[in-house]
Amino acid sequence: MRTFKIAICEDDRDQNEHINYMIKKSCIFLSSEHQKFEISNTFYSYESIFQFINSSSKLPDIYFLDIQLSSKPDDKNGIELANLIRNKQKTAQIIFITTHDELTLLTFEYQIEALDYIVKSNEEAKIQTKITQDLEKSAYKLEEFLEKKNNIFTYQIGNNFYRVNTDDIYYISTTPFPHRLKIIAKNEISEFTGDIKNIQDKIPSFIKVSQSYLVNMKNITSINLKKRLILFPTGEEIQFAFSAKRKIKEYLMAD
Amino acid sequence: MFAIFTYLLFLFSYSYQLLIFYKLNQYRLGSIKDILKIIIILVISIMILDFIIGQAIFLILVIFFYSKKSQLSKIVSTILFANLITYAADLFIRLIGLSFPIITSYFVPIAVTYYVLVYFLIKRVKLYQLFIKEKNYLLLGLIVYAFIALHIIGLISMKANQDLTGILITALLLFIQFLFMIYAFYIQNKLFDRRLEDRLNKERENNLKSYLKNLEYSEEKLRRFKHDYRNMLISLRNAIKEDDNDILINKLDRYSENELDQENFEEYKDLIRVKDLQVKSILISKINEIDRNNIKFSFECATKIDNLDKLVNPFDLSRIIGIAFDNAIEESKNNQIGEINAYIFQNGKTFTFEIRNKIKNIPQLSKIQQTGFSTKKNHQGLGLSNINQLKQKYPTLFVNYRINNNWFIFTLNIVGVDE
Repeated sequence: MRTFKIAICEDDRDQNEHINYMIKKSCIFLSSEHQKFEISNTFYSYESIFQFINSSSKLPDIYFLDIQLSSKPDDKNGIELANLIRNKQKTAQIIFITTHDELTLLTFEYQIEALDYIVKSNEEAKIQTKITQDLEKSAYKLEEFLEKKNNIFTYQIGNNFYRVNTDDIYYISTTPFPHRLKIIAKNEISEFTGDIKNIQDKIPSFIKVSQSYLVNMKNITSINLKKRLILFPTGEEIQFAFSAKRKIKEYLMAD
Repeated sequence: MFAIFTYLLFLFSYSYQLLIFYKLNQYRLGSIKDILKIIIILVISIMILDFIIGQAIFLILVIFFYSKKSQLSKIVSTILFANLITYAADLFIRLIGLSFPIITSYFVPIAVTYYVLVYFLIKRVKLYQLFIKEKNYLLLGLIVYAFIALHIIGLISMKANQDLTGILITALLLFIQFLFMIYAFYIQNKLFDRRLEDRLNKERENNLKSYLKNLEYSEEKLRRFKHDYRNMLISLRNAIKEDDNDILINKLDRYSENELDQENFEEYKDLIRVKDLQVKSILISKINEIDRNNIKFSFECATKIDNLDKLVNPFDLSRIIGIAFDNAIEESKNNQIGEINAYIFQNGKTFTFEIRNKIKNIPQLSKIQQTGFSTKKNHQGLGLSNINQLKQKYPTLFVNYRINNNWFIFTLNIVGVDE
């Protein structure tokens, strides 16, 4: 049986208690013999949860975060907190608790990849349904993440993580800058930090055809073994190293 | 004994040239491949004891190993420049030594001082900036000319045994002339940058003024609203007494709807968190432009944005943001489904700017980055290649292009260097 742990961070005591109560209700409703939901941690300030995340090795799976954790506008807020959690824990499921004028949808969706947001209002029933749905969705996503992990390539730029489907990648190559790689995919041209050697360990299905190119052989347009040329759907053509010829041939045979 | 000394001298000369070459191209020793390249170049060059052929082979090897399609002129300029600087010291000390034999015994310390000085000077004035522009044929021409001239003088001086003072003076003058030209180039570059800076400063001022006006306007509106609302509450109280509140409540609703739900200022409200004036200014100006073009738009900034000048030159940053906005605006103008969303975010040492616009036809991503290509039929295509050029200045600046469900997404990430 899998247990999903939930953390709550809300600085207002009354509201904290209230949301705690509502989440507990949803937990009871959702728990079955296969899965269990429980609130493992409750926080009342940015500092306390910050400390916890940085020191604890056992982190919760699902977070409910208030956005405005202080009345001063320049203080750290829930969004910064969420980004921090996301960096520590890629699988964290984050749900924001917000008032209407704090809504920043793009930031929620793309920067934090928040699961959902709950707008504080008086419509109790609606909020209760939303919490239940969000917990269900979180559990599903967490399970899915375990299964799908292999098909997604994650790369990092500073504090940010980006994901691309491995099947969409054409190739990954080095750039004139050291430790900077380039990724060319069906709908994407990106640069990120990394070493081509480590990348190959992450995606063993790709073939390192030369010092600087790691190629997804599934997506090439054509190959010329005599001239040692690989053509990509982008129209680019690269020459592969003599030493890679055997590996490439093996791949083609196996196909 | 003498042979070993010559080898060492050659080795030093070639290594120094490579060092300057790396500095000017802002390369850093990264992989084993790099080190291998250098070893191959050095070994082959040293094996050839003939000075002229050795030099030629060395230059050819470097150009061969490092040139890429688009960067040939840059590679040639930088390696020839490195060669010139190195060779000049050798030549002049030798020539002066012939006239004043006493100098010869100080050959090594003088040369070392010269090389160290030149290295730090190049580092100090950030000379690499001079070579960033691709296909700078004027600069290339100048360097090639000086290179040929200096080597011819070197050849003559080696063959001729007569009075060398004339040759020395000519060579010195020529070299000084060359240095002066390089200096002129450098200053011109600087002046250009400064002019650009001035222009951006002026722009910034104008943008902030219009932002201020906008703020004042909304403040004024708020005051009016307060006033109206108070009146309305008084009427409401009277109406309750007189029992015909339906009409008045309707009126109040209508008024609130009109005045409260206006989203005029919505796009600007997050700008309060942007403390960096240069970025704030470019955002204001572009949001204004989007407003004027009646394009559906949203802008978000959920974190404080500050201290960006530690990561990147603010002018370069605002140019990149400006170009990204221009492209999005150009694409969304006269486009039925046109829509632009943007957000900025700063967390710890990472700064993120993302802008996405709806597109009608999906462009070929691979072509977008190339010089001169544009998703639009007319001009503008220079934009993204300009970004590519600015990007070269910073190893910490990352640009991503993605297409996702009819959205073209441009992301800029600047990663702080750990101190």
